[in-house]
Amino acid sequence: MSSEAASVTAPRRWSGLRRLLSRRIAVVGGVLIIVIALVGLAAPLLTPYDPNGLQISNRLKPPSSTHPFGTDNFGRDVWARTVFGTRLSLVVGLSTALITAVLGTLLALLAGTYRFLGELIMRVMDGLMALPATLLAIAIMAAVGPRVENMVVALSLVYLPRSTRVARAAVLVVREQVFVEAAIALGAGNRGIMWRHILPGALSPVIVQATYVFATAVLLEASLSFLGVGAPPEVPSWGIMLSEGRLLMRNAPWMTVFPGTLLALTVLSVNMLGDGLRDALDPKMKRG
Amino acid sequence: MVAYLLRRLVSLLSILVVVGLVVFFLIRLVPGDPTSALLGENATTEQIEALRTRLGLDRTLPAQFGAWMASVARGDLGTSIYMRIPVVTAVAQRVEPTAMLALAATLVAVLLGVSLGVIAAIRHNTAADYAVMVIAMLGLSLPTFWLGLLMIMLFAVTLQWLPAAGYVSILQEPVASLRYLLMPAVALGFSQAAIIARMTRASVLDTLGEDYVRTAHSKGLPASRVVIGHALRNATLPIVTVVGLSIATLAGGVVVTETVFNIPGAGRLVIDSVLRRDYPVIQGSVLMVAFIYAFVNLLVDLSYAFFDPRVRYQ
Repeated sequence: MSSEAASVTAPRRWSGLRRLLSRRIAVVGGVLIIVIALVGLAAPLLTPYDPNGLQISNRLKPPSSTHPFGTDNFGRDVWARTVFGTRLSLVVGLSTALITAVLGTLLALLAGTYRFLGELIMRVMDGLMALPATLLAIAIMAAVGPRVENMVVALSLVYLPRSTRVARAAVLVVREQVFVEAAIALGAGNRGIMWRHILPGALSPVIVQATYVFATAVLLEASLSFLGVGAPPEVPSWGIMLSEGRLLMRNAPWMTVFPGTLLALTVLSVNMLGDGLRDALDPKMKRG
Repeated sequence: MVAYLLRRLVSLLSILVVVGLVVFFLIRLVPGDPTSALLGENATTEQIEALRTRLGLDRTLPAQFGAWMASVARGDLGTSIYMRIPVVTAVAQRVEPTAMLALAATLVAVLLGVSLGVIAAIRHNTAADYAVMVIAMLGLSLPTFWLGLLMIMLFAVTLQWLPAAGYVSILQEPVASLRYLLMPAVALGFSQAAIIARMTRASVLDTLGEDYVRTAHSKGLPASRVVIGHALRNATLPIVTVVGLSIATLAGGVVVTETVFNIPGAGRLVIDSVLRRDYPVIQGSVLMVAFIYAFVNLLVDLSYAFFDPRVRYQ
């Protein structure tokens, strides 16, 4: 039974991948994000400097061959800090995307299966959604303090309602399909229908939504750190770098230009991948 | 219509209760409490206890929440622990810059977004269309605060066309006020313009393929009238929905933008209150924003009938 099912679904899955690869925007985005991730992983190999190494005699040096991105107001190497900053952004973005996708799908499956629970879950999500994302994240971070784990929890709470909504919409569509009706008629239990029939059908929109959560979480992480309520000061973060650069914009524009460019590039590549995924996974989507 | 309104108001109330609960208990998770921020580290135990009693911090959490919600219902959002003035007053003092910024940013987003989206739709699959799509992709990806910093570098520091930061009241010096508002509004509105442009393009592309558009063309209407009077008019609903959603994002975005451009608005007040652990101000301003947002959403839903007379509320 299971091998038969695999042989039926396999070609469809591969055709999805082929469609994805046929879209240039997704390939460019995917390659870029892999390169950025590799830069983050290989950070210690890419720079001889400690991202937190203070060298007061070397303050505010413009880009040169020894410091390709210049140095900041504490004499720290901006290239080293930018490269190490990749880690925080990707870790926070990826964790938030995964947590919201998994939890959102679970909540949506529960909401789609048990009526009363569904009402309750969706009312709480509506309440959370009535708060602007930035404001809610600030309020949470103000309460729990600047730590990386706290930031992942805060951002997950902020984006969970949106992911749950997307997953629930998908679940509601799949639930009305004939094959679900058939499964019910064959006497399958709630749980079996949930996992075996509804979940696979509802996955595509959840995956696409996860890429958008990834991109916006990277942006929001940088905003929170920029405001001083995000990453702790000892973690190299693009947002913190930009808030330090803001005060020295006239004297040391490199402190603002380089980390910001990498931040924008990261978000851009995730967004490109997301757009490509959406078009590849949605057969109804017309090319254009 | 009346029944629909009543139902919406009831659901609005339930949303506000959830929001109130979230905000109230979140702030109570803070490890320190405001007495240490107010009295300093050398305060005696008696002083701390007296202040806790005066602020009501010695009561149980449910009791504190009940008292808070009851006063909220009377329009009393408490007193700022730090500034010693009512929260409503504190926020009201800061509301003009924030309202102006949000309004200006919405204007930028709608004007830029709709016009770019329409251009992309009528020039579908041409260089102009691709250019708009690239701009929209950039708009979605550029961090608002970074865009703001780059604009300050270019237009204020290098070219010296506009003031780098600050705010002048529109009531006192209207022209100077607009000069101060221009950069923050564009920086804040650009990402929303990108979202609106994408939705407008998709929506107008749909209506351009309709029979009534072909009819309008064939009866000799000028192209501009066909696009604005027929295609765009019928493409309005999804665009209005996106504009409504973008207002929430703008409400959060003002906090960051006000910091970048040193604007003394309500967003700045929230950040300052976070640093001062001024619970009532954080609670009150977040609750007010949620209320305004829920209200705007209701207005957006009600405006559907204005844009499309076929819409009926049940």
